[in-house]
Amino acid sequence: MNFIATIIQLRAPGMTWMRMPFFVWAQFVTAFILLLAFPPLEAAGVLQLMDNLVHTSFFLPTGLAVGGQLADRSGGGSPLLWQHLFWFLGHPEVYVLILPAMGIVAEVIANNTRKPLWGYKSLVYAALAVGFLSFIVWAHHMYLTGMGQKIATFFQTTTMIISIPSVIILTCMFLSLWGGSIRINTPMLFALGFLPMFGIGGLTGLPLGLAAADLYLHDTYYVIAHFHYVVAPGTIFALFAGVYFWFPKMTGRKMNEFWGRVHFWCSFVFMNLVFMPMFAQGIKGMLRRMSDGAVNYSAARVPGAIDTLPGSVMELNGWIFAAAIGLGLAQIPFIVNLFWSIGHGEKVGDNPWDATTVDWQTPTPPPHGNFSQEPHIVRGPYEYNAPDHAGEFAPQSEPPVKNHDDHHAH
Amino acid sequence: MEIPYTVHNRPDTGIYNAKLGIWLFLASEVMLFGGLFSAYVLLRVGALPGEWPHGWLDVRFGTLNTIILALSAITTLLAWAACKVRDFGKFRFFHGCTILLALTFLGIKSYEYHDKWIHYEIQLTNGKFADGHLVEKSADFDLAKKTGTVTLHGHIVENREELMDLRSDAAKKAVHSEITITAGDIKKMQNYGPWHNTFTAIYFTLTGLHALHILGGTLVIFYFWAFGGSMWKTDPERFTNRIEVSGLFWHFVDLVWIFLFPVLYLT
Amino acid sequence: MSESEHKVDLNSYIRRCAAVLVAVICTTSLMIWASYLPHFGWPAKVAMILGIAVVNATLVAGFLMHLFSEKKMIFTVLAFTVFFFAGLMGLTIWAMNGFPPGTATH
Repeated sequence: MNFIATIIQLRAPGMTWMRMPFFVWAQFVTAFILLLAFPPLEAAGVLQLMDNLVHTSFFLPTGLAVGGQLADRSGGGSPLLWQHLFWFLGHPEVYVLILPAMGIVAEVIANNTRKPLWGYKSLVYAALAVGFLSFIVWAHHMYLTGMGQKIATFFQTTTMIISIPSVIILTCMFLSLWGGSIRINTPMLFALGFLPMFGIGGLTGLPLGLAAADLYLHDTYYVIAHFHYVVAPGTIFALFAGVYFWFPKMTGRKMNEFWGRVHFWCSFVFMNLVFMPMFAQGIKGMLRRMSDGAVNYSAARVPGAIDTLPGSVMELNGWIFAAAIGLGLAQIPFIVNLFWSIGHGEKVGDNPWDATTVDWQTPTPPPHGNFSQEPHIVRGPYEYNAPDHAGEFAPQSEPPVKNHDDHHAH
Repeated sequence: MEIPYTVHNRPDTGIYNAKLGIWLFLASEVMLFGGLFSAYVLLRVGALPGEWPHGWLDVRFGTLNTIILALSAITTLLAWAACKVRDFGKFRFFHGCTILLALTFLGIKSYEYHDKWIHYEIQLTNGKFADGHLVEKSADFDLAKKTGTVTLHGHIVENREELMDLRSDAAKKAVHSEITITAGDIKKMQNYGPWHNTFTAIYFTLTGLHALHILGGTLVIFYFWAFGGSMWKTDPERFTNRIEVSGLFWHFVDLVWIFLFPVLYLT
Repeated sequence: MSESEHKVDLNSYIRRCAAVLVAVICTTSLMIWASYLPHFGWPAKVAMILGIAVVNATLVAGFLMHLFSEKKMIFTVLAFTVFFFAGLMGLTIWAMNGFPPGTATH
C-alpha cells in the first residue's frame, strides 16, 4: 500500500510516469501483485488453521482414512481447493521475486553502459503486462491434478503469452548493452551474469508451461533446476548487484572490488555446476522429494521395473554436492567484504557511480525525508551525454544548462 | 520537507494519500474475502446432492443484522458529513450510534453462534438421529462411561438427509418436543460447530472473520469518538479525512455482509 | 474532498442518506422474497439473489463510499481487483468442474 500510494501520489514535482526509473516501475507492479495476490493465500491459511485447530474439513475429502481407520472428520472438503488458493498466490509470487531483480539489473546496466535503457516504453508496458497476466496462469502448477483438457489449454495459453513480456524485458536489457561504454565493476558483473542465467531459467520454463511436456517433467529435478536458475543466478545475482551498487549510498564507502569479483566468479561457476546437471537428472526421470530419486517408489508401483534411473544420474548428486559446498564457501568473501567495508572500505562521495537517478542526489546516508531539499525533475532517468547538459551525465533533478522550456508536469 | 496531499487532494488523482491507501487496502480485503467466498462456492458445488444444508440459519436475525449494518453505514457517513460542516457534537452523536449499532450486531451474532453451539445432532445406536437444542444434561452425564441422560428439544429422524433442508415442507412439518436420551444409546454426539460439516465450517469462518473486522472497525471508530477531540482542535480537516477513511473501511465491512447474508442465509 | 459545506447541506445530506437506506432495505427485502419463491431451482434463485445483492452493493459503494464522485484513478484499482477476483472464482470453479467424465470427485 505504501509503495503504491507513494508512487501514485508523492512523486517529486516534474517526475512524470514516463520519467520514472525502471526500478520504480518494477516495484510498482510488484506492489500491486503483492497487494492482490497474497490475500487468497491468507484465506487458505485461515482455512488450514481451522482444519488443524477446530477440526473442520475444508481440505479433507469424505472417507479419509488415517491409520486404517475412518478419520473423525465431517469430510466434504477438497485438497484441490488448497492447491488453487495456494497457487493463486504462488504464481504471482515468482513475479514478485523477479520484477525488482529486473529493476535492479536495469539500473545497473544503464549506469554502467553510460546510456539510456533500450526500449524504455517497451520495458514499462512489458512489466505492466507481466503483472497483469501473472494472475491468470496459476494452474500451470497443477497440470497433474487431473483437470480437463480445455482448462489445461487455457492456462497453457496464458502461460505461453506471459513469456512474451518477460522475453521483451530481457531483450531490452541485452540490447541496452549495444553501443554502450561498458564499464566493468562488481555490480555490472552480477547484472551481466543475470542476463544469460535468467535466460536459461526462463527458457527452461517453457517445456514446463506446456501441459503435454509437463506430464513428464512435473515433480522431476528439471523443475528444481528451472526455478533455481531463475531465482538463484536470477534474483539473487540481481540482489548482489544491488548490494554492491547501493552500498556506497548507505555507508559512504565502496565494497572491495577484488573480492567482489572473486565472489562473482566463484558464485557464477559453482551456481551453474550445482544446477545445470539437475536438468539432465530431471529429463532422465529423477523425481523430487525422494532421496533416491524415487527409484524404489517406481519399483514398488510398477512390478518388474528395474534400472528406471541410471546410476550415472544418481552419481551426479555427488558432484552437485561438491559444487554446493563451493557455492557456500564462495559467499564468505561477500559476507566478510560487506562487514569489513562498512568500516574500512574506500571512502566515496554522494554519487560514486556518476549515476543520473535522484537516489544518488541525496546525502549519504539519506536522512529522514531522503533529500535535503525537494528535487525537481527536469529530464528522463538515463540522460547520459544529454544534449541539454554539458557534462557526461545529467542527473534527473539538475536544472538544464541552457534555458529549455521544461514544463514541470505532475 | 512537508509531505504533500495528506489533507488536500492531489489535482490529477483527485484524492489525498490516505484515501488511496485505504482503497488499496480494501482491494486486498476484497481478495481475502474473495478467496473465502470461492472456497464456499467450490465446497457447495462439489457437495453431493442432498449433502448441502439449506435453511439452517434464522433469516429473521440475518435480516435484522442487515438493517442494523445498513443503518450503521448511514450513521458513519453522517458522522463524516457532520465533521465536514464542523459540527463536532453531531459527529459524536452519529458515531456513537454507529458504535451502538455495531455492538448490537455483534450481540445478535453471538446469540446466533450460541444457538448453533447448543444445537446437537446425536447419532443413536439404533441408526436414527436425534437433533435439537440442548435443554439439560444430567449431572452424571458422561459419554465415555455411558452414564446419565441428555435432554434435547428437537425430533428424531430416520436418516441424515432429512436434517439437511430445513426449508422443505417435510422439515417444516416436523414436530419438536423434549426428548431424553440415555448415554448408552448414543453412538456419536456433536454440536453444530465448525466441525459439523463444511457448511458450518465455512459459515463460522466467513462470519467469524467478518465479525473480527466489525470488532476492529468498532475499536477504531471508538478511538476517534473518544479521543478525537485533540486533533479536532488542531487540524479539523485532517481529522475529517480520518473519519472518512475509517468510514470507508466500515462501509466495506457492510458490503461484505451484503454478500454474506444472501449467500449464507438465503440460499 | 476538502471543501467545507454549509450547515444547510447537512440536512439535505441526511435526507439523501435516508433515501439510500430505504433503497438498501428494499433490495434486501426483495432478496428475501426471491429466496422463498417456490417454482425455481437453486441455480436460478442463486443467480437472482446474487444479482440483487450486486445492485445493493453498488448502492452502498456508489453513494455511501462516494465512489460515484471519485475520479478515474480509484476505478482503475477496483476494476483490476474485480477482474482478478472474477479470475480467481471463475477459473477455479471451471478447473474443478472440468474433469473428464467418470473422474471420481469424492
